Amino acid sequence: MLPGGYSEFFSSLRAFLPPSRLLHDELSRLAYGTDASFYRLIPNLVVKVVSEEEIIRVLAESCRLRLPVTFRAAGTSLSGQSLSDSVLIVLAGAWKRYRINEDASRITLQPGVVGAHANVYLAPYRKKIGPDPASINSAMIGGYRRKQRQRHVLRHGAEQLQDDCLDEDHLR
Amino acid sequence: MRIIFGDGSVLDTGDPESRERFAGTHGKLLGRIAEIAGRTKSNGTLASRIRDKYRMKNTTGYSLNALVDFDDPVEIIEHLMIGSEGTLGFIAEVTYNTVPDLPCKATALILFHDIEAACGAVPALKSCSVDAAELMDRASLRSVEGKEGMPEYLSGLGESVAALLVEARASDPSGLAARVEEIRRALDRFPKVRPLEFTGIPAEYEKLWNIRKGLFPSVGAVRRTGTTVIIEDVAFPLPRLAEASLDLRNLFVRHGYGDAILFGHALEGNLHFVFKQDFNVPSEVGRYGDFIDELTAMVVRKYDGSLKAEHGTGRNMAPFVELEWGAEAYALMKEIKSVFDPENLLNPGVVINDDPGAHLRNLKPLPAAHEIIDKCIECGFCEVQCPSKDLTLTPRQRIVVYREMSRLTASGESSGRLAALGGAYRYEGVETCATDGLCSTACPVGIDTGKMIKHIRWRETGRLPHAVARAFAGNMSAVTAAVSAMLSVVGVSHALLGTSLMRRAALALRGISGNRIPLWNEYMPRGAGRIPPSRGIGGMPSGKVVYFPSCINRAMGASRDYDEEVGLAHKTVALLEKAGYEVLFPENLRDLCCGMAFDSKGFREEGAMKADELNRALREVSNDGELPVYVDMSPCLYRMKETLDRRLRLYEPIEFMLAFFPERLKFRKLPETVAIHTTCSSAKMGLSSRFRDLAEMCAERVVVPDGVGCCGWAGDRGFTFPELNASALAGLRSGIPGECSGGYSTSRTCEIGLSLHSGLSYKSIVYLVDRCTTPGVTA
Ligand SMILES: Cc1cc2nc3c(=O)[nH]c(=O)nc-3n(C[C@H](O)[C@H](O)[C@H](O)COP(=O)(O)OP(=O)(O)OC[C@H]3O[C@@H](n4cnc5c(N)ncnc54)[C@H](O)[C@@H]3O)c2cc1C
Ligand code: SF4
Ligand code: SF4
Repeated sequence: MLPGGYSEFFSSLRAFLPPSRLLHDELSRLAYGTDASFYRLIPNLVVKVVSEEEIIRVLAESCRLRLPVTFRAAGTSLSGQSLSDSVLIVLAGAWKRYRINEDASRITLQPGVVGAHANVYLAPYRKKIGPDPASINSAMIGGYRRKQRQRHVLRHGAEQLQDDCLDEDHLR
Repeated sequence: MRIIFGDGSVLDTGDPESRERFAGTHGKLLGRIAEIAGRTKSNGTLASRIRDKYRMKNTTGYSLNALVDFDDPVEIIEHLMIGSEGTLGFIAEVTYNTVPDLPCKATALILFHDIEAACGAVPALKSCSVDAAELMDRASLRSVEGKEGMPEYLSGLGESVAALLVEARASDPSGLAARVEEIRRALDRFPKVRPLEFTGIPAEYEKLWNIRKGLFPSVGAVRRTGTTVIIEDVAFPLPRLAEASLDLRNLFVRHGYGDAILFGHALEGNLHFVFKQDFNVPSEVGRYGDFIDELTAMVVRKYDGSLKAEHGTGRNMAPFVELEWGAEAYALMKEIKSVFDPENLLNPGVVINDDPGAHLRNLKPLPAAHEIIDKCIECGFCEVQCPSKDLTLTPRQRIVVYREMSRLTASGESSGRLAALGGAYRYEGVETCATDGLCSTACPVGIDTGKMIKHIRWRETGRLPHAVARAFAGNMSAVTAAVSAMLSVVGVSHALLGTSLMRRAALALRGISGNRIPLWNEYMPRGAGRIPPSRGIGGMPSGKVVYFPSCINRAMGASRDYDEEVGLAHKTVALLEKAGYEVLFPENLRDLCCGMAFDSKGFREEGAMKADELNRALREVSNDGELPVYVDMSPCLYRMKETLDRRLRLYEPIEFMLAFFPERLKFRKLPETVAIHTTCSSAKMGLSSRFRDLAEMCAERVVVPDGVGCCGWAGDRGFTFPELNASALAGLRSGIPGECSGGYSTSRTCEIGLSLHSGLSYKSIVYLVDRCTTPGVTA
């Protein structure tokens, strides 16, 4: 059934994950072999993780067995970066917690929060997060990748200041 | 930022304790990062190369700026993680600095004679306080012209015209006016095709932004079945943007991509272009390969630009990272990868890839499968909407699997795999789709995957069930009476046996029946009594309304959790009469039904037959649309709007009450917190925010629980596949504050599932409106 080291990997994950979150049937593997790019890779195993404890244990096992893993948030990326022909680790419907600090100058987000939802949480404070991809209604924080250049604001002068405030991640 | 590394270790960069612990266990890693950074900083040419590169928007390779901007290795790691695409570690939490969301906005579509002129105006714009400047070439504008909601003047534009869509924002109107004036002055000297005109009216600027939003999908929607759409994402130095855009256009033509559209974020010199591509034949793959080779060479050699400005390197640009950055910087990236992931186990092949042809491998087939979904670009936008996403499949996955089954069927290869997929698809794809169509609201090409699933069900329905369905369809009155009687019996048993006993009895029954007897739950209604004839009480009625109580509400009465014993149909009549209406019913009401229950299960003909009957009855009683028709279930109303005569003036409860009640009833806010649930049908009709408006007229506080979309009840799937409803509403209970007095919606069946999974009693909004209104007028 499962090739090579995947069978052992599967058994060790079964110790703490229910079978409904360890998918390796033909249909599931195909279904998760797609992101928004024009590439396809079919994973041997799809693992749905809902907590930090789980991901830590999953990574410890994949590392021990030397199995490659890929993370998947919303799978809307366009360059083929959320695909795997080995183990696909999916942020299954969880990882949605957030906190906003007192003056709403900062928001702390788990990677499963959808970008637009973060802005909904911030709306009462008349704030939002910096990045604004066209995929904001679907893409999740885990998949956000805009580079931040805040420091460059200081280094390259006033002209860039404006640009950065509008466009770049304001990562603390 | 909280990071989990490939070995399972944790680093929380904002937590001193975690940093200390990490330094203890991973001192060597921190040391190597510090060493690499030190080496980079002291290499003057490399350091300034890195700084130069980040003057432009760039997501090719790793964020090397971390090495030159920071000294503390933990800070360096934090910034290397951004844009690392899961190749260095897992991000478990991240803190963003927020930016102000400025409420006042104004937008202008500025038309220039050609793309050079448009690009030429960008540096002037950049010196202003401008929030966005989106460049669109003529091909872009053409791709959306003539479509619904697009400005008419697009159609008459000259052949070379190009546009900048400019937006300014401010915290107050006077600030906005100043910014608009600043932009106007800065652009004064540039010749334009039409006079510069800003609009601050939301409906108008949304229309303008829809031009921009429609671009990518427009190519997806017109491509030939079997081909894919590709979007590229390059950046050039701003002063050379005009020149670069002309070079790109020439390149497209040379490689046979003449119909590509070009647009982008002009302020950052970031250009996107979208084109159709066939990957089914080797020569086409070769053409794409040649095109990319020339593109990358031009962007890098001629302009020293970025190959991926925002979409990330992925597999697509991994073979070209070295070309863009040079050997020295690329070696640095490989070294960084090896420090974090020495065995190349984290997303191998992404960002760093030694295969020069990696971008041409593992190409995804997009075979013709079903005309409803053939335009799907597999973008995944629909997934967040889907009630079955955590239980079985998402809409995108339903399409992906269906495509593969079609491909296997057509090619005849691997019948074993086809059988395995087909067998699993029955439940995962077909049975557990709620066919609510909410996926279509998020889809850039408007695909309703539920429609395809209904089509599959229709094809699969055998002869026997058709006979049964037809018998049902012809005897609606007997069916509603039987359901009503059955529910009455169930209701009596519930009263006698109590909730937990009933649930156990129902579970047992369902097991014996092979899951065919619907699962009972305590929120199920009792049978409804007969609909009373309208008496026109309460003074002189002023105006008439036709009321069509859906078959569901005719059969289902109040359930035990209702605090009143009155079923919805009775309640609705009373409320309409309170509002001064004389209420009329269509002839033969007992036999009428919108036909959805048949259609959604694949019984199309029977569904059409019922729709036809209803159409005739409603035309008659409403005088061919003279009188408004009130329908008490949103899903039925939605279907009726699709299937019945356009002359009929059909109203959903929310629409009707907002349109007519304020002048007929006096609303008084109740001192309560209420939860509302917008049904999929209401959402598809754009009524989500209007539902909130209505509820806010009735209660002091209105909550809309987070992240709850379609409830997954799906007419009656909640009875037969209760796990779909449970999965869709898993987050509901935690989203409802304790002080909530009740939940309100506009679909009886959805309300059963909502009550079950929240523990709060959900009923029709009619009950709330009735409680908070008295005859009179709302000021
Ligand atoms: C129509 C369309 C328009 C788009 N427009 C834009 C745009 O305007 N701007 C833009 O920048 N992008 C755009 N994108 C691309 C894409 O939507 C974004 O890049 C988005 O940020 C990806 O988010 P995701 O949740 O889908 O991530 P995914 O695709 O799931 O993942 C993206 C990458 O992040 C990694 N990852 C996911 N979660 C984690 C984690 N917790 N820790 C570490 N790594 C993780 C994955 O392994 C993968 O490499 C567009 C895409 C589409 C389909
Ligand atoms: S159906 Fe879903 S994946 Fe396909 S194009 Fe529409 S939103 Fe994208
Ligand atoms: S119709 Fe509903 S359940 Fe079916 S795919 Fe679309 S959103 Fe999902």
